[in-house]
Amino acid sequence: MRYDVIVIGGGMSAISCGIALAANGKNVALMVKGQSKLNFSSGSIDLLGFDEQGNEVLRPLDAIGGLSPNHPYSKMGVSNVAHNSAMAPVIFSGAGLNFYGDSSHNHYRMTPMGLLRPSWLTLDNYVTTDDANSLPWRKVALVNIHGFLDFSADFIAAAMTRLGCDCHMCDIKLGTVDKLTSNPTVMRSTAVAKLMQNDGVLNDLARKIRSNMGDAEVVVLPAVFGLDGDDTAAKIAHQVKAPVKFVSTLPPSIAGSFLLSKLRKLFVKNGGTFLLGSMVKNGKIVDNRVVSVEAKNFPDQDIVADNFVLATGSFMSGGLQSSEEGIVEPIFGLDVDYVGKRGEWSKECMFDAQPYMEFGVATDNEFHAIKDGQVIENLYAIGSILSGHNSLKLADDTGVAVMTALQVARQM
Amino acid sequence: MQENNNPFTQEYDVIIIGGGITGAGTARDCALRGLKVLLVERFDFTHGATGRNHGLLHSGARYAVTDQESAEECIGENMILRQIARHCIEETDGLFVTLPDDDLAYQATFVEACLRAGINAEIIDPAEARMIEPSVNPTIIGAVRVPDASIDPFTLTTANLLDARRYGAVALTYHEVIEMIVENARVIGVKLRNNLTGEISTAYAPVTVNAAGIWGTLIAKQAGIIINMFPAKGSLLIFSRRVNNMVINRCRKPANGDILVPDKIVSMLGTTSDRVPITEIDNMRVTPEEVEILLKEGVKMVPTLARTRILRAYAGVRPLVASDDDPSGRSISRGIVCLDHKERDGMDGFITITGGKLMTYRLMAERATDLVCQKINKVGACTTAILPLPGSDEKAPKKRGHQHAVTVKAAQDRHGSLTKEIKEKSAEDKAMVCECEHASVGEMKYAIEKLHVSNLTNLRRRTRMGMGSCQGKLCACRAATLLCKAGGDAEAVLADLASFMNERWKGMRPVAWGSTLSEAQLTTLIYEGLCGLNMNNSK
Repeated sequence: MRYDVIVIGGGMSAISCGIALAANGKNVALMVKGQSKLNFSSGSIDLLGFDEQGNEVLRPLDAIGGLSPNHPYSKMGVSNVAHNSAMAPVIFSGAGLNFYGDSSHNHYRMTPMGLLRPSWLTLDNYVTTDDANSLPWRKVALVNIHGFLDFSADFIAAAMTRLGCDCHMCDIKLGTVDKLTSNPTVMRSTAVAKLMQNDGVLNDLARKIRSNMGDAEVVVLPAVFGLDGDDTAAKIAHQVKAPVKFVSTLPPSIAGSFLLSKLRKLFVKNGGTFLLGSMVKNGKIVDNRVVSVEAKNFPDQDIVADNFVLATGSFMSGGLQSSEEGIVEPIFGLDVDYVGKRGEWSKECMFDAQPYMEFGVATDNEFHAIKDGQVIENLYAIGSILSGHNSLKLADDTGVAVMTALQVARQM
Repeated sequence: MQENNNPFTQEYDVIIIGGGITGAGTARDCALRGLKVLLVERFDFTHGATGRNHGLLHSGARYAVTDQESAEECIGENMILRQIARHCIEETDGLFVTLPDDDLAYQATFVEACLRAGINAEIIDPAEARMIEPSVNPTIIGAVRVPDASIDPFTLTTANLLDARRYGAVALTYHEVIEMIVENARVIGVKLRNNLTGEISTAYAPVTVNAAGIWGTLIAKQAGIIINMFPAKGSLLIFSRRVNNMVINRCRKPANGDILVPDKIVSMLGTTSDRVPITEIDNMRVTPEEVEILLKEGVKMVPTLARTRILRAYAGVRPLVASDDDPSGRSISRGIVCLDHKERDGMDGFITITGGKLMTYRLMAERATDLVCQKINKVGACTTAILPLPGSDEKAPKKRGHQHAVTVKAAQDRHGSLTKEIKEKSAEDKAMVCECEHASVGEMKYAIEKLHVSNLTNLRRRTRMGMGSCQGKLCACRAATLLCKAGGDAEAVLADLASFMNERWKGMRPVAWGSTLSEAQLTTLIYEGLCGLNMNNSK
């Protein structure tokens, strides 16, 4: 098998890169192992929510200049971040994804716990606010589906009240959901989202919302609409006949499923190829160039390309592997930036900045990967596998994914 | 359950300090003998060593060679607990295996000592041992089968407390003794601080029992009494799956990392033993060296441990007591120590019950209660050796048609026949909160209502929520929602959730590499990244 570019990975960075490359006319294949971090998506893309001192960032593009030189944004430079961050919403809208927000200033998204987190782009039918102390509405009807535990309506109601809303909670019983709980493990967001694809259930829910919502200006629902890119979000809004907004649930994220599904469609439309279920085992490197990679599901086949992009994520996605001895990048054995002693990988308090969050593969300023101190000319690393920033503390995880993906695609 | 009357205006015969298994057992025994009992615990039940051991129902074999008296106590209590606490025990049996590096001659000494102590120890062929316990190292050269088992200290403590309460005892969590009230060389009561509200109160009784484990030395000090305790830290590792079905021990003198106990869905590897200063006992952390020692030794017994994810590491402190005529601490006893402070120190109305083990808690309670009865001239025979605990007192109810087999089975493992108290009326009650331990909404509601639950850690200890392989990744959020629904203030519950997750992380941190680190990263991503939780949410 031969391609112009092989992208290893299937998450936000891999697919964004694939879309941009395919749009440029490259023959590109995505080697996807399985699920990605989009399962834990909030429905938002964060460019930079906090600076390295922990202060909240209002204008992300202005703050990027102050980041340390190892940060991926610093490597690509402020002007490239500005360029790519202007390009991204255009690409997304081509996929049918409409977001609220732009890179000139952050807004806040509401989390499943009712807390506010700074964001760059948020799916435009999700709850957002520009003001940390209020929401855009006075009267809110907060709906949950009875028995659905992964939506903490009580926390969200308390938060909305704190933000000055008159929040009316409606716990709506659906006969079908009762049936669903006859197997106690399946009351997850995906199962509820699947139910919503049934018109009868959706109509029943809409009818019950209408009769319970009183004079609320907006109906807030758990984000269980849009599984696999379906149009149930539009349907429920249409049927409720009032503005409808969503708040993310606990994982698995339906927003993530929605994003992924739309992005995958665009990638295929642009001419990209998916190689699903691909467990890439190793790569052959000759004279500082990757010649081919080998995957478990393609035995005895060398998968050849001119360029390779590594977008396999951090520890939780398997892009980095740790053991008592140290940390490795398992496919190519690339150089990894990390501190030596295991005791120094983490901090005692879970919510302190954890050093391991900054571990990742070393690259040059063009995101070429490095092995044994040598730059690999045709291998790029993008997204969460990169070292040099703490994506939780800076709230820049998806931003780095998209920015580095587009940057690398432009360089090829 | 809320007590109806103000607990501080009632009259008591005895105040028991400490909500571990010893305090709970003593409260039960006293209550069964008709005494009016107040039990006070400064944090939560099982907060100390009771909740931090390997949950091994010793046959006594481990002590047979070195401490015959302890061995005899163990096998005696082992047989009693199998009768009275059936629902807390899993009858696994145990193996003592000899590895090629070990001296096979020790086996004969060991078996002989076991038989002398009344422990049914049977030498079996190593091939048979490998067959009945496939996880064991295939190179073993010897194996002895003994009646070890696995016991759940959390449900055991709960059952004792429930029975004590059934017989009128009052139990208060988060009430710390800040002063022993002494009058004319006699302890007449205690001054308490509510650690949740800061409120100060007093309670009086003719006898006070110090059952505070290693913290008992600090309690005694408040009455001006010195008890020479030697805090011995024991560290353990929990593995993410049930590796073994029988308890596996090393057939040699007790040492580090030589017990592997199956506990429901996980396995626990113990233990180390190190003296720690008394000032450190509230802040036990497992060191990388201890993890290394445990793993190194554990892998020798059960090689697959090297490839099994370690869920977490934790440490408890054994309350070892030096005998009074040996201030150097050389002759440290692992046996039961019951001190009448009138005889020992001229302080009447005060008893300390300490030393001992989880295994012998009932015997400790019996001795302490005998002494209490003697002090207040109450006649009453101990019945705890024959009266089954709540949960083991009736046949477990049959699964009802509308309930789920898997959650009912799990609930029965935890609550025995008390499972009938769990109402699964609606579809919501049947939904599963904790998918690792199969705990339903109904079970959570029962625990919140009936089992002294005010926070997520309490709930974890009563239902095992968050103890399984996911370490609370999703179930903690769900349980927090239920606490909120039960009337908890949303902000306070969020604060509790942040500190609960932080506690889970503290146990993972000493073993944070490989998949444990990956899981920790995912958990942080969910709670901090997706949900926006941080320590500002906590106090």
